[in-house]
Amino acid sequence: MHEVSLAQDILAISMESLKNRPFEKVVVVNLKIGPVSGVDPEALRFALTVVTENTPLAGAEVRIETPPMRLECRDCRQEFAGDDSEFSCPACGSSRIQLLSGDEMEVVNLEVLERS
Amino acid sequence: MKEIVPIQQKVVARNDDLAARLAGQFADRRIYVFNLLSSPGSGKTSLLERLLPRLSAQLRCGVIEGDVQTENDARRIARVGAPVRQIITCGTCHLDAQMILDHVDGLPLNELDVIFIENVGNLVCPSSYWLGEDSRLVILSTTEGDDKPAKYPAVFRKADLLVINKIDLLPHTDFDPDQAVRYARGLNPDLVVFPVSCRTGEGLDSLAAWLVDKVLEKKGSSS
Repeated sequence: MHEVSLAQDILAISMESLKNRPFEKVVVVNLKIGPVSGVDPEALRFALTVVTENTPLAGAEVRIETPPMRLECRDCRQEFAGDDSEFSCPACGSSRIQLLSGDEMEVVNLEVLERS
Repeated sequence: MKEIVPIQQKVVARNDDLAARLAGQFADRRIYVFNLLSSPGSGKTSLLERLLPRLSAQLRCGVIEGDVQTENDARRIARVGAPVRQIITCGTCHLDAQMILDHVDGLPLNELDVIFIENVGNLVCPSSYWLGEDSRLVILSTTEGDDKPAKYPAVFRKADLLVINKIDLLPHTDFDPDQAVRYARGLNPDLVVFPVSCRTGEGLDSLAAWLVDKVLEKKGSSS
């Protein structure tokens, strides 16, 4: 349950990027959270509603993109989609597998309403 | 008008920056740092209690203890004679680089070759937070399931060393060490594995020798 810490980081990163920028309100927070990042998206959403209270991010919609998990065999270089129960290469059977993507935790951007 | 404010930043970017600062400080002082991770009760503190006396002839060791509550672990480490600082996280389930920055100066840094950071017992959250360490050591004990690596992949994927503790209890458990290693190496083929028992001392001398080599390697390469 480190989602509260992550939510605080997301808030800090967002506030930093809004510095010196006139805006009316933050409408959407776009995040990228990989399926094997160790983050529970629902817990993160809840944590964000709590830590953004009384900040410019309060009430913003949180959109979480989940990039697919991609693996690569270190022996035959075969790339394949996987889950964490996959421990061998579908092409050559090797168990020397590395993660290409799926552990992302990223703030992609904010959608803001400009001050009119 | 709706406008996009591009960010494209890792959520833990600030922690990574602070950890890089720590890594720089450790490199300047030629201190090797291990981050110890495991679930509660796997034997992180016991391992340090048994290892520190085995290392003290060759290395000057310091310890940072992370716990949600109590200074019990720091007291145990102090009894074996190593300088130690206790971080009490008051509920937070992991250590972060800021906490290390806040406490590391409490150790006699000019008199240390190696620091062991004992993280909060947890196989999920600590894996996202780099503390400036050179290596991550994960402990798995034979009273846990041998499928822990499959259930908590992130922590095993980012580890350098796997210590399988409590092997004296193997006859009494269903834990299959080969299966555990198979799962772990499936995630991380380069993982170095040491089976040990903190109770009987089995395996601890070879683990200590491996740690000494690692630390001296860093000291040598940066001198």
